Amino acid sequence: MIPQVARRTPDKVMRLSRLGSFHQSRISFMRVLLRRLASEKWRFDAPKWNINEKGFGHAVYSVHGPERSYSLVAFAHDLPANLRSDRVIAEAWDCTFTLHDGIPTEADIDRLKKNVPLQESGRVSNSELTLSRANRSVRLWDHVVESLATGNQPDKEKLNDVGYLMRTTAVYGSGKFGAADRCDISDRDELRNPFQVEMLTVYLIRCFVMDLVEYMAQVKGGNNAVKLDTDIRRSMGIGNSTGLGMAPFLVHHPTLLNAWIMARETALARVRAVKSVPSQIFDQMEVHLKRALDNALNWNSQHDIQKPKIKKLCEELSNTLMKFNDLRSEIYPWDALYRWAEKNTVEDTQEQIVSAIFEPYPELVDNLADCMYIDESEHFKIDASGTTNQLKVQIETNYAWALETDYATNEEQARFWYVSEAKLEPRLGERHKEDGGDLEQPLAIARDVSSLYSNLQVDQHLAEYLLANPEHRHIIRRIQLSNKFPYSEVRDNLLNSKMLPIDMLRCKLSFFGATKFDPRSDRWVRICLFKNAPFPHELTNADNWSYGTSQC
Amino acid sequence: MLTRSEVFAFAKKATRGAGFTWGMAEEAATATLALYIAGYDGFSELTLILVNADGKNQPFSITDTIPCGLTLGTYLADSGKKAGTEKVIGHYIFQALCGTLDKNKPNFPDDAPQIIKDFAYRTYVPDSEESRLHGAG
Repeated sequence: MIPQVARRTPDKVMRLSRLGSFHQSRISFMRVLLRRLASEKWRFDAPKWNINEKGFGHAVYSVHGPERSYSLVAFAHDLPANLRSDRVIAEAWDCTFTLHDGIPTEADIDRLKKNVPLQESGRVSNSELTLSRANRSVRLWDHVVESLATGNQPDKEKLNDVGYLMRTTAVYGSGKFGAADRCDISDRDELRNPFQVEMLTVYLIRCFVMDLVEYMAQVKGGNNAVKLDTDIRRSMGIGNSTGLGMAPFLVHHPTLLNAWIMARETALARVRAVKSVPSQIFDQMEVHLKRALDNALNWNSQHDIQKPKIKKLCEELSNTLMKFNDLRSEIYPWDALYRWAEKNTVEDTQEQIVSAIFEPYPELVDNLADCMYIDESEHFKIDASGTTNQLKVQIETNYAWALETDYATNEEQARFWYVSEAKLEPRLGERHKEDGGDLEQPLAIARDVSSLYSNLQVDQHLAEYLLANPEHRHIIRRIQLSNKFPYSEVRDNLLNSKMLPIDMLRCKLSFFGATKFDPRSDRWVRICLFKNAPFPHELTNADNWSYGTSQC
Repeated sequence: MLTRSEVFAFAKKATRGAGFTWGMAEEAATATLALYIAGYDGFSELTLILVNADGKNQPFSITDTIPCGLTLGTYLADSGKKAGTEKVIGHYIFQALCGTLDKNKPNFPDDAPQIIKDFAYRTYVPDSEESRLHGAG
């Protein structure tokens, strides 16, 4: 049994402000993927390149694991500037992609050519695992092509400001638009962890994008053209624009959310229980904290909420580094560091420190990534054998936070979640200004628990209560889940006027491994994926690239 | 061919659109998916239940002469009871919820029937000037 201190309580962890302060860590899905690719020595074929001199056509990137192969099929298009949009309502993109299960035949390519460029309006098959698209960061793309074509390297500062040459605006998986369902592939070792096909897709998109920019420079510059400097190339990630569509995911998948948070909290509890630390581990940690500070110093955002958060993070990480030497003489130094951070820093810094102290402990942390998957269908059925008084006790135990609020006020019911007719995407409406509140999605967890609680006046069999009160059925299912899954619920009112959907986005994206979280409003963000990640020929078992290696 | 998640999503929205609660819609979607996995035409079975429910006050009584199979099936499953010889509206959904199904080869449809799409459509909110201004996607 691995020693551990008590995990942090759900009341502490599951608040939006803290979930919205999470950072990537060793158990983030992209790092889990790259560790597997390296340890299992996956083979990467040279791309099959059918892109013409104007930059249009398709390419296939095939990879081979121990048991199966997967191929990114990438299409590059001629996109007029006026059609380039990051909004989900866009209908044309610079590039479109699918991850094919295996090696595609010519017939597959023909079929995909007719469908993948159409994205939501097309249809893929259960031989495809994802569907995605990306747009160029136009000014940066042109600058890189122009520089390389004339034999020069691009301006590092310009590159660093953005961090990527293309950004994806959606990566659909799990049975969307005809692609294979999650249950079709979740029994494969390499895909059991969450979002592995999506991460593999984005990793291969990054390879394609960097190859494409160098190819276009070569077409333009001929013999004068040069390749990107290796370090610059590695510093470029893939951008991603993510909107509200992602926010309800955490609420729709309570048992999965619990699995993710439980893994992270268990990792923290284990590392805090480390009693004595050799000096080389301290040195490693110091290097990692310096890289985290470097990452924060180069984290750009113009958003009113994010800017002061980054500034504070930089100040407090500097203070943490000053405090660092004092820790060397302490027993349980990481517990001491965490306790110090709780008293002296804001949530954003605390959560950066949480992620950072995982770094030197692969043996304590990495296997927890294997606990981040759950078969949700096994926990669907309501146990209606009990009574409503028992249900009441469960509410008082796990939902006291939801009972504190007066939902009769405008402020606490200011919003409603709905699905838009135009794009069939989740949206957030203003209840007192817009129509559609009667078509609200079941995301009003706190309010619905409170309403159920007030309705539980007489003790009776739960099955009888459910028959007479089916409007409470969805929330009773959740309440029962919260008994077995303590971290299954975001413990805040998702209808409140000041609620920030970007907090939910940041939580989920941190589990992907995203960096450079840059909100563009309270409900959509840009991020960077695989920045500093090794390319296929650079993969090693050293999972130490997350904040770059410039400090080493 | 529709995927499992598409079948589930259509069935859940359509059931909600016909006036059932979200919790009941989840049960109906699970049962519809189970029918396709067992080789039945899940949407046709679900349609029987939705057409019967459309425009009526809920919750339904399980003592009706021919009760709603979704309501009675869910209640029996909650009560730990198995289906008997009850006559219900939506026999196969009822069986999927609390009875037994002969297992055949999974048989997923190419698309959802228009009536299911029409019920599902009722759960969507049209864009307004206000929502467009928020630019949420």
